Amino acid sequence: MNNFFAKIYELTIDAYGYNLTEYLYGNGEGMSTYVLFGLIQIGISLSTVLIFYYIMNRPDFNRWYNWALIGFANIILQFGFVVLYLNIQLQNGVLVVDGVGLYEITMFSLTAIVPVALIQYIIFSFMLRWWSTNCSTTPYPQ
Amino acid sequence: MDNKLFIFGIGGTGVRVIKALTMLLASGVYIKSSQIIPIIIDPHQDNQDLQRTHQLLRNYQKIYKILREDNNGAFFNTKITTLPNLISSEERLGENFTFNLKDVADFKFKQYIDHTTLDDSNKALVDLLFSEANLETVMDIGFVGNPNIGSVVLNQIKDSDEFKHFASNFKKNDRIFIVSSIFGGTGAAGFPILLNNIRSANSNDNIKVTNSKYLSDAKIGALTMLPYFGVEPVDQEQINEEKGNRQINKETFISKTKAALDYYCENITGHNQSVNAFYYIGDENTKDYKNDPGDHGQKNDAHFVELAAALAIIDFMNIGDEDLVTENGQALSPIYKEFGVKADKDSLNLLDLGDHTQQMIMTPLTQFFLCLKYLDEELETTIRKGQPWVNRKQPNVNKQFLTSSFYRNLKQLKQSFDSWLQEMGRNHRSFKPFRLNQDISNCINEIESNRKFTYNTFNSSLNEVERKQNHTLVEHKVMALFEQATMEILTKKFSQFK
Repeated sequence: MNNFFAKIYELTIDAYGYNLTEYLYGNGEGMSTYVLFGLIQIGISLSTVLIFYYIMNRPDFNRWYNWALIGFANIILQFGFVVLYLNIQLQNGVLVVDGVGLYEITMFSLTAIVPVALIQYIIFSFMLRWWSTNCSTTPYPQ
Repeated sequence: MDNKLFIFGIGGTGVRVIKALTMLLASGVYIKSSQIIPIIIDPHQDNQDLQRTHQLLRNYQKIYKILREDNNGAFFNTKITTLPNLISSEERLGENFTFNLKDVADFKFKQYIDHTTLDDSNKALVDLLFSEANLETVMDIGFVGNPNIGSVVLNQIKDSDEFKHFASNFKKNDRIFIVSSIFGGTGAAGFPILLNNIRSANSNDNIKVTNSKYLSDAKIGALTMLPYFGVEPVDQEQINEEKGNRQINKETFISKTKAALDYYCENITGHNQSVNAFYYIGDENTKDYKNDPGDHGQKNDAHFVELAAALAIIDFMNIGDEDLVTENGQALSPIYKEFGVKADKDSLNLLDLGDHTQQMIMTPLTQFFLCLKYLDEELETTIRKGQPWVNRKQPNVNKQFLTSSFYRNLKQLKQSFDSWLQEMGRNHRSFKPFRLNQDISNCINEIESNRKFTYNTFNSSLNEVERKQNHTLVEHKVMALFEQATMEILTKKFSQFK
């Protein structure tokens, strides 16, 4: 699973540098940060989609831009979480890798976490919208 | 169920009762009849009430025509047809709902009876029975409150082609209902004549059809409207100057009613027992209408009493055959009924209706009102913005639907429906079931929803019911969805509709 997430997140390695990946990949002990982020991203994207399609599920909130707004919130949430999490690790001295600072963390979140969040939101939306009463044709009719 | 109901609406009141019945049937109030054939007898062809009712019936027919195939819904569920439609195309009489009275348009009554050619003794008799004003009455606006004129002119019914066609299409299981007012001219005169013609159809040499024997023992219901409105008094000067012979005097309504009731007692309800079920409806709480005998089109506001009269027709069809047995033209156990409401108030709402009436009309009328309100106020927005119920499954409800003849007819019918409600609301006694100009959350008079009710709620219900339905025609889809969605809304959001 670590390799799976590593492959995805490292597609944009040029944007944030090799050094950070070492920390994210871990040393094989316990859950790696890649897996942690991967599962959290799936969890947040899935929850956001379920909330939009089945909890909110409102006829007056089922236009494509409402869907896009929730999708944007999903991205911001995940971006913010990762930046905050890694920054805390950095501040607390847990993340001690040469050449890794707030810039690299931000770039990682922007180029690796954000696209994954977006893709997950789209995929989950199209997978799960069918059973929604009021939003099954969002973002566009079936 | 293969039983037709022939409804004779005589005079202005008859026309307005047919209008009220059409509104009820459009909203899905159930009547135990496979088809209804309204036959309007009114010499006043320019009568605006008649024109409006014609328009409404035509709208209804056009909508029904599209919905009838595979229509299991309640809205527009009953077929309304014309007498000519029952007849094969070769013999068609015309396409409208009216009975053509001959030699009435632009004819004075004295011309109709050939007054000038009468011998002295007959002329003397005529002069005894009819005033000069009666003889000078031009009958194209009706009989202007003169049943003595009507009783002569309407006697032509029995020899008319329409009556022959009616007789030849009348089957054993069919029923007849006659609506008339007792205090006017056309209805008061026409009802006993028509009834007599029907009961004696078997002995009428002009009607040589095998079915005529069914008419003599037909199950006949009738409703007579006792005074329920007045007319404004006209000053003497105007009477002298303009058309003294044509003005209607409301002071005579009660005396005319008493005289007619006495006549009915002798000839209809008494030992003759010509009617199987007889309904009396009227109201003491009245409003004076403009004194217009007909010259200005005769456009009277709809009245709650006319709605009650329409309910009598539905009630008549609910009576079992075993209670309407007729032998040799006499009803064996005639039924007499009146109508009442829960409270003697100037302004009635749905909750003031009797329990049985509430059960019959409260839900369908409200469903229909909500449906038309949505279609008029919200559908365009919904199509523009999109909701699953319009475009999740084929057929889609799209912009083309908004330009379809079905939608146009529905919009026209909505206008008639709103006018009808508005008029009942401003009449005396008034009936205001809905607040027409209020928004959807607050549009049912005196009935509040348990939870907030908006077009959002409406769309949510439509989206939900759409899942469970499949249709091939968009018109079926729209009406079926609205029927079920409005029912869900009423039962879930309003405790009074449970």
